[in-house]
Amino acid sequence: MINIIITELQKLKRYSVRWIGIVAVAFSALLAAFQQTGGNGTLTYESYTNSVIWNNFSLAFPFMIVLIGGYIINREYVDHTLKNMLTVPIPFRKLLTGKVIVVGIVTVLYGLFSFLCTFVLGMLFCHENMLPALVVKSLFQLVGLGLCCYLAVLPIIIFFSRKQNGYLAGTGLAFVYGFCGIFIAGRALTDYYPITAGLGIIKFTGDGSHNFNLSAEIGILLLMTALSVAMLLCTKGYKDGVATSKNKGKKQAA
Amino acid sequence: MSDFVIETNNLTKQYGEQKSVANLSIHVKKGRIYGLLGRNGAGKTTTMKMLLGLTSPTSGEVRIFGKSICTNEKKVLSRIGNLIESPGFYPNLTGTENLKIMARLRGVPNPNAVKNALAVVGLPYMDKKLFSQYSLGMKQRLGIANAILHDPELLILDEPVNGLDPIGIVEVRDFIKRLSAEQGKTILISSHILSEMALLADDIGIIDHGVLLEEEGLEELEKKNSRYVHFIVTDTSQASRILEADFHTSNFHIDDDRNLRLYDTEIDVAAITRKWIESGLNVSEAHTQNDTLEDYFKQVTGGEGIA
Repeated sequence: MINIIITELQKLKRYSVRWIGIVAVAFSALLAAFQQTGGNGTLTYESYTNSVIWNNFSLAFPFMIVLIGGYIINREYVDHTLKNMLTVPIPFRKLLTGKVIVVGIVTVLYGLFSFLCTFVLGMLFCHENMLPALVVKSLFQLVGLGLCCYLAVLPIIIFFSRKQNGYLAGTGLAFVYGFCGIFIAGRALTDYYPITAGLGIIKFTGDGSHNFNLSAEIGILLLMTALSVAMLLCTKGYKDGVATSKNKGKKQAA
Repeated sequence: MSDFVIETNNLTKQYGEQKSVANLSIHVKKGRIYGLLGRNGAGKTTTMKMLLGLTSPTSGEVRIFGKSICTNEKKVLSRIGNLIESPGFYPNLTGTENLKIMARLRGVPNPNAVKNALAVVGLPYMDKKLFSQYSLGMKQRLGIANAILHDPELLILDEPVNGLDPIGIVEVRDFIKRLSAEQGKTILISSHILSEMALLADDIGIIDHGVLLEEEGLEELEKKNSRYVHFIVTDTSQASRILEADFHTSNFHIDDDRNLRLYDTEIDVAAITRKWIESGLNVSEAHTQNDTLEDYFKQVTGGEGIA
């Protein structure tokens, strides 16, 4: 598995889709800066970080994680490299597991990049209140939120991995899934909606009115993790573009 | 244990109502080059995919190295190098980077394996050119390099000379022959180019519409297809004794008690006929046949020729 993960990271070299993630994360931080400087009050680093977190879970991260995850899986179909992998032999399930882990690593890196953007823009817009403790907290919050979003969208990545170009539909779904978080966050379902379930875990303060049920949030994300693991375990051998036992004898469409 | 490296038994692949491969039983001997010859769409690639476990057969069995591919996939596949259909590599990486990934995944212990494989196919090591910028011929060469990267005992190559220029074709052909002759590797190669098969293969399987029509050594096939005189006589046993005693040749084949083929075309046909008639035999027909492999392919497939 280590070799699969290492090679999956090597395959990311020169992938242009990485730039979509970089732009999305940078845009999220920049948008938060404009949103926050638009008000009359003094911009604090904490409120700015909260705004970045809000944009990350509702706009940037869910669609970006599914897009990048789906894309790196889809390349195996498009580039006709799946046959090379399967004849090494690497079972499709193992390959998918390796890719899913790499998507997690990439998400952490984007979380770090989001922190970097937040820190740099914070230096520009929040001249006061940038206490080291707050900066360190924002680092954990942004990386942590990325990971929580990753767990929330993981079943989507796995579900849409079975068909060539299926990830495009998954990306659209993930965008809607994330965007709906705007209407749910701060309300009764916050702790139970997977996208917003990470907010309490990362100690998102928001406007101070949120009371999170931490155990419910952890439970929901564990449930998503269990669902993802179950989906991976149920992934059948990949033969001819179809799941063998279900569609035996049917010609590959793609 | 079986003498065959690859053995299939009534292998069938059906898509809906259509049989892509039907009851195919091929036998590939150790250390030999087996050419699977057939037109486009004859079922060559589907057969190879089934051998590699990329497609599950509808029925029948595949045994490689004496083991069933279904239950011993990991053990068997690690001993096979393959090139199926178009070479598949990551377009954003260079040839060397692509092979390094495959070497790591295959657990190739030799640190120079990538360099050596590229040298064999004449591609530069550590070149900056991305796979997406490769010509068709370069892609094909890289595919072959990938197939031999882990020094496999068996190579399954699907139309490996596709897209290569004439010099490249000769190079790959010589290289494949060397692999078999010097390293004793078993090679299954498919092609629709009959002349290519004639130059490369030791054994040939002719496949058409998914059915294996003929499986024989190239020598046998050439014997069937070379120039010969076809006689129809009343008693081939007596005729053969006369050929051996009076004309000192055993280069003939008795098809049945009336049909005899004489491959030694140096002997005067009129003299033979005269001698047979003097010996009381009736000769009802004597004509020269000059079949090529293509003629034979036409005859076997019952249709048009091949490239």
